[in-house]
Amino acid sequence: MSLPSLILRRPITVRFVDAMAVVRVTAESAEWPALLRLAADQERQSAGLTAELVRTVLPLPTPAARALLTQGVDLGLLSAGDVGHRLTALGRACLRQDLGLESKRSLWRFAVTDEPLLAGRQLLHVEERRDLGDLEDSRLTDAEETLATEPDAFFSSVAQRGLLFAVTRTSTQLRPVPRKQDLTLMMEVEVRPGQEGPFNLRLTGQWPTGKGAGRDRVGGAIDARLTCALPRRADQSYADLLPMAAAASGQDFLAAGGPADLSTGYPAKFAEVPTEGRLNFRLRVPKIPQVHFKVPGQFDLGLFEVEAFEVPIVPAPGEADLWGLWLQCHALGADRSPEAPARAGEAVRKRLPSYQPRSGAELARTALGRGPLGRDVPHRAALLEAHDLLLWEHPTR
Amino acid sequence: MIPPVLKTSEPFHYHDRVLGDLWSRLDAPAVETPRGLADVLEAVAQARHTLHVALPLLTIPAFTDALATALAQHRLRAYILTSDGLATGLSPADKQAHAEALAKLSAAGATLQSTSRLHARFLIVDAGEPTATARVFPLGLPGPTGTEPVFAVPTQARPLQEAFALAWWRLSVDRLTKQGGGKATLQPGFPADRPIDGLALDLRLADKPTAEAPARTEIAARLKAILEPAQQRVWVTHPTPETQTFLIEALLAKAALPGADVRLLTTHRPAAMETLRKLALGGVQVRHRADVRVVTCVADDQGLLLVTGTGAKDEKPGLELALHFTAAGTAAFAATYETAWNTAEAALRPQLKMGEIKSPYQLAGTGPLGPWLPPPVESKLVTLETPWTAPSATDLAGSPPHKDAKDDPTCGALTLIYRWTVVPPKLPADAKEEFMTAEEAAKLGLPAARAPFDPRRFSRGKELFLLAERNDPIYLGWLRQVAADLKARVVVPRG
Repeated sequence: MSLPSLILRRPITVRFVDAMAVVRVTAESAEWPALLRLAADQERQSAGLTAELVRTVLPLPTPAARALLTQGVDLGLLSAGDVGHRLTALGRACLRQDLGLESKRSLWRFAVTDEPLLAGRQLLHVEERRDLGDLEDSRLTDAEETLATEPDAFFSSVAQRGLLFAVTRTSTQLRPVPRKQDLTLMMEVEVRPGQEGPFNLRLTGQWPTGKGAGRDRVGGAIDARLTCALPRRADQSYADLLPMAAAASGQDFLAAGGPADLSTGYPAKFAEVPTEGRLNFRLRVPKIPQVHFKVPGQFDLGLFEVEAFEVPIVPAPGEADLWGLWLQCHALGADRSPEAPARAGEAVRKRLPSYQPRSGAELARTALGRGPLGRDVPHRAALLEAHDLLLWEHPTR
Repeated sequence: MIPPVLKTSEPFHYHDRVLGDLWSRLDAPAVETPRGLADVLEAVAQARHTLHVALPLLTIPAFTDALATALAQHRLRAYILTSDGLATGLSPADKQAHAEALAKLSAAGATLQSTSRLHARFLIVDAGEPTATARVFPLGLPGPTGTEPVFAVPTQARPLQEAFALAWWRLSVDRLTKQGGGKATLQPGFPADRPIDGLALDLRLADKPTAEAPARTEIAARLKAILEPAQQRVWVTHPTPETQTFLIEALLAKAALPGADVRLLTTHRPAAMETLRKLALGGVQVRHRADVRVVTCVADDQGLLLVTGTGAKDEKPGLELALHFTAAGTAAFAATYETAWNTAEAALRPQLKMGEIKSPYQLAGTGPLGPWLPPPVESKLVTLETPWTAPSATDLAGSPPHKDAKDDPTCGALTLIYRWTVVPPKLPADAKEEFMTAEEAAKLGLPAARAPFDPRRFSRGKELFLLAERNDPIYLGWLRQVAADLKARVVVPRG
């Protein structure tokens, strides 16, 4: 029985700031992709990249090869070790893009978000300012922590495919772009049952379209997947979040002491389950506009909209037979051939092995509205007709 | 002057005169108007769960309204097997009433299916419940003033329900519900040969029975089966008994049993009279009711009520049934028969003597029934209007009116006395008196010329008349003797 994934959504605001900075950005490079690939090969053999090895792929004198490696360390692509240079995470990312890095000192426009789940990934995009016409409209403020990043941190642009960047240093002052240019993106967190580790995030939305084409194209519809930089707390597991969502949905079935083991499904009371749920053994929880995922003293993930999801359910104790009876009546439909009741009964038994299929005459009697199902029998009119006209009754002789 | 003579015959006694086969009117208590429709409407109003109605035509608005009301008030499940109302023989008014009823009932939530093959007409109320009851109307539902019989058969609700189900699943053609019309869902798996307790069934699924759809015929066999062992009583109602040879034979055989009470209630049909006479002579009590149109039979503690089609030419073969009553059910059924028997109009009396007729009667001839004749009176004096002119004044006793009148059967009296007037003949005007010759006169010492004879003689051609001068019997006796000797007629004087 597969448990549903919880999809939590909320909008995040992206603001823009302009600042003088030294930023390393991915760029086409003749030698770095080859060198990075070589380094990766060496790592698989538990060895590092050395000047001699560099020379096997690039026709350089040894000092130049060493200088190249030093440059790689400066750019953050490589790290020096005992047995040679190894790839950093940034280096690996560049290798995946088949690009090198270049360091530029210029006026940059940074896209920044304050979303807590994106802490450590707060820079979403960077773009070099060439047209400085609008700078007069803004005024300088202190940079404070806005652009502070970890030394090894690098970012992947959500607006331009393949663009990796890392901030080396920034000026102490920057110019916030007026608020009216703020951008709203939708952040989605998918919480799957049994999933551990940091949250997987997905950003979607419409980025203002800029110039460029192909790899350089910026903006348009974006759909970026990120991993939260913060580790997930143990008390933010699926099993913790699902009841919170269920409680907010207003459906009491989960609040009424759900079992520890979710995989067997929630025992639901027959009378409280709608027809669709009775049929599919799943309870559909419609989209919840607002859920505050918060445990006082532990965590506060904030408000989320929770996408509609379906919870697997099982008949509450003692109601399996009633449920099966209902299912058999439903499966029977308007089919009143002599073999139909047995066929429907067998179909129910595949879902509820404990169910004892009933004969047609017994089913028809349930439709009289005097049984536990009351008048709530599917295809009641057809069953009543079968009862009143003795369809399945064969006197034993 | 001799006046006419008033003559009276001796009494004639007709007690032993056999008039033939008679319908003798019974002094039945006044027949209650049957409750018919009112009873059916009452039963409908009692329904709380279901109604099964088998009725080809829904042309009685009161019944339709009662069904619709019951549906609305008690959320009944109503199943109605009826016809599509498009038969050619129907009047436009009936067609319209039927169509309106279909629309009204389907709107009220009844499930209607059409078939032209269900010939039994009945109503089941709350089938399957402890309060189940049923009404059978073999000739159709009576109108507000109709006299078609309605039988209350509470014990037969279950068998009727089974017959209804059989027709529903096997004979239906179209379906009409609140949601709209469509083809009826047939269930070929529903067994047509399923035995039903308390019921005999004739069922023909196809016009010509085949090996796949054999005809089921039980009614005639069931009738024979219950007649066979009967010892005490055999009470039969049959409108056309002469067509059932085995029934006639069975009745005669049972009537021959000592102490057996064998009755036949039927109608007067000229074609049946031979058969009825045979039955009556064989000891079967035969009574007449003009409204007998249903076949029923009570044999000892079993009963049979046939609910069949009209036998019309254009009637499709289909389902007909006979309710079979046993023990408890028979008592009520036999009581119904007893009531019908006691309120019958006439009893057939074969070869009845006049002295045995005590009530109005009519001859059960091979023609239509005539007016009732009054029962014979004890005695009657018949005065014959035409006077009889005697051939001779001396012959005043031997009268042809007397001879003719004594055989007149229409007089309706056990003893008849006739009276008539005898007019003596007169001397013709042109007769001339004869006189004695001189020798004859001389012998008697009378004058020789023109001595009359005694009695006086007259002649006209060869005819000879003797003139009677008195009418005392002695004189007339003597005169008759003389007239015989002379071959003369006795006349009285003219004027």
